[in-house]
Amino acid sequence: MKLTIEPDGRRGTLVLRGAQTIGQAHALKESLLDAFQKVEELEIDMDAITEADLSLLQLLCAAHRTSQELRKKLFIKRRWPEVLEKTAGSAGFFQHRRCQFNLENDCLWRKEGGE
Amino acid sequence: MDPHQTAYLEEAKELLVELETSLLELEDTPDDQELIGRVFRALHTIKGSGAMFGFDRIAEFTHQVETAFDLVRSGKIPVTSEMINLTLRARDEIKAMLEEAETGETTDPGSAEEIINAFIALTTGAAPPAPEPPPQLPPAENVRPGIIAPDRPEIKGRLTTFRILFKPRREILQTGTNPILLLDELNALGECTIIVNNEKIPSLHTIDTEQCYVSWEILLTTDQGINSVRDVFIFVEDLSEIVIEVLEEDLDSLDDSQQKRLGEILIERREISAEALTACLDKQKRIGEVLIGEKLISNQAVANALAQQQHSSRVLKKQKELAETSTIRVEANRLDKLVNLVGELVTLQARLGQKAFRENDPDLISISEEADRLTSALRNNAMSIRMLPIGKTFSKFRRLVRDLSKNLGKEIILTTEGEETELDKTVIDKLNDPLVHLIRNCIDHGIELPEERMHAGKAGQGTIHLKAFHSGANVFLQITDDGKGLDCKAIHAKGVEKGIIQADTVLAEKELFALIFAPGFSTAKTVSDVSGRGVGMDVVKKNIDALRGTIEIESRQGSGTTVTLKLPLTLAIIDGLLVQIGKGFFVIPLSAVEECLEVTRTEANQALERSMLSSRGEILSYISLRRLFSCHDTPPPLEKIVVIEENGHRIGLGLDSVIGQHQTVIKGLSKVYQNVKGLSGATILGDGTMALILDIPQLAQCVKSEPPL
Repeated sequence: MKLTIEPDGRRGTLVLRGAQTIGQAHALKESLLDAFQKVEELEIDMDAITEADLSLLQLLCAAHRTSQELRKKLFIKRRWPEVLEKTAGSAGFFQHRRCQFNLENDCLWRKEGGE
Repeated sequence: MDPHQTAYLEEAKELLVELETSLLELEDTPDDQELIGRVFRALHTIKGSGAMFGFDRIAEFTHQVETAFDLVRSGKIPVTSEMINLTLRARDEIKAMLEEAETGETTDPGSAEEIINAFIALTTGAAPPAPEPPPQLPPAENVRPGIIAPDRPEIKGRLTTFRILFKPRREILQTGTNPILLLDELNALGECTIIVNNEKIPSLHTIDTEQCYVSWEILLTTDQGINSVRDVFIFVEDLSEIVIEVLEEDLDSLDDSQQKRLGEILIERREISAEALTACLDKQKRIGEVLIGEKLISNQAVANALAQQQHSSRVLKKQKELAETSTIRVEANRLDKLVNLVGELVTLQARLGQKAFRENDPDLISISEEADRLTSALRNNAMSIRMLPIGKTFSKFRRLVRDLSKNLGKEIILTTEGEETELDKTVIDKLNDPLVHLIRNCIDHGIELPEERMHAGKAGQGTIHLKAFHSGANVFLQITDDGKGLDCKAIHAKGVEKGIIQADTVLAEKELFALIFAPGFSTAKTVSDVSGRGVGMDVVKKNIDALRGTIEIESRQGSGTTVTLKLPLTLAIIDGLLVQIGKGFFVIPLSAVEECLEVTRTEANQALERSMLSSRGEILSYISLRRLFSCHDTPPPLEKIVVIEENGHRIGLGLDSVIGQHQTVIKGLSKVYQNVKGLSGATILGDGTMALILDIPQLAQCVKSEPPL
């Protein structure tokens, strides 16, 4: 996990690589909290993820909720990586777009991503 | 036996096939959790349904096996070769119990006990220390572990929509369970809509990354029955609350008019009252928006109801598509009757055609031609119904190869090709025994021991390849091994020893290999329980001959052997050559005919004396059908010779006249004619007279074994 912050310090990109399952979930949570402290707009780049499970899906939802609490922006970079597409699809996350946190129609589980 | 019990026996047999296939695959990939699940579910269903329909002994035995395999599923014991062997033995025992229930023949109860004891020894002796139990946390809010499902009989095959609420306990992830795999299993059962409820996921500040905060509502439309749905949750019953309810049944007859509206779904789901709905409908807006606006209902509730509506709509659409291609089970003997009736119709049509031709009536000819077209279409259609892919037969041999190669200390894999090739069911039914013989021979005689193979510069693991393909009106089956091939010298020596050939006889390779089919012929130096008694290849030849097929062997010493079976697509109809001897009509299968010649009566008499005739410088064996069938009419001045080929051997059949090609509907001969050599059946001609169908392999045998005719 690596956070890259743009020169103006406003926007940053957190790059996730390899397996992102329950074993890595705690470290990811800490990285996300740290990133939200440093930038106003956070982009998560998951292109290099090779493995995902429910813990990652829950963390992404939690990150979305946190961004709303902190009044910050959260984006998912480009298309969903295939492995995450499969995991989230199997778990029914793409069926779900109407939770109470979807205030600005910015739910992460919109297939087209965040931007 | 009541129909439910009969249905159970059928289903259990199918499950045993599934069980065997899964176990053999599991042997190659012992860590495959999906395969372990498949094995377990097969056992679980055999047990559950067995108990339900009164097969207590089967249920009790399977329960013991299932308990042992549960330890595998939970990771307490590994998948070992011993475990696979034992489970395969258990599968055979269950099969024997099913047969006992069907036929009343008693199996040995001791063997079941022996298997159970072996399981107990394996599971108690090999189990590693149990892992630390997970910390006992209190259940999450509103989760009451267990499965709540309607108590209803298992009805497979009827399309039903289930609504499943799956609420895992918070700590489910800490036990190593992956709930998404369970959702995938449900998804595999039919048309599935999975809606996640993620509202309880907290923010990053408070989330415990090892806890599960989500639950699911699943809409599943399947024909697999409620037990299959319950089985998915077997191992998480204590860690989850699962509520299964039936939403819609008997969907096979669903139509557009039964498509529910959103409001109806919401009332059905007890989200809203009918009065509140009516009041909102008066506002002339989209009902979901109004209900949310009025704060009568949550976003989640509308989303779930919409998902249900979309799910129903998708199922309905799929049902419409399936309606045109749905399948039904029909007893094989009903199909046989249909084919026989179609055969009668073909014969009757031939008579009508002849009558119309004789009367020269244009109207009658027109009707006859139309009936001919319809009869041909009906015949082709009826024949196609009885066609089955050969793949299922191929898959039966995996177990044979596995067990036998292990017994002999060999490493052999079975590969297959052309499983989709179709053959008449009657042919497939009779192919099993010959193929078993041939494969056993490959394993015992063909493929060498690993060290012997490596010494010869080959891979230690041998291969048997089964291949099926169509060619014209025939299907070819090839059994190829990469073993040591046939030893021509040994075959020649054995042929001399058996008195089949002279010591100085020089045979072409094809003729030499054909010696293998002689009764009692075996070059095995020792007699094993697999082969070597010289019983087998002659039986294979007889069986293939009975199917009007041929068998050929190609082999290269050191490289392997290929046995090719050429079989007719169907046993019901053949293309034949109609011939006449005196007043009698005969049909020669066209596939055996090479050419037709004509000789003078003098030449025919000379051929009769010598049992051979000369054609274009080539010497042919000669059989006078007049003599064979004791026809004493005055022969015509010219004799027709139909040259046939059987196993590389050309024979001239002497007869009076050749009438022409004739599509023949085969009728079996009664038991009275069972021992008449040279005939394989009979057919009815267009004018109602009967013609006998010649058995070419038997006639060829006459040439080899009997004094001149």
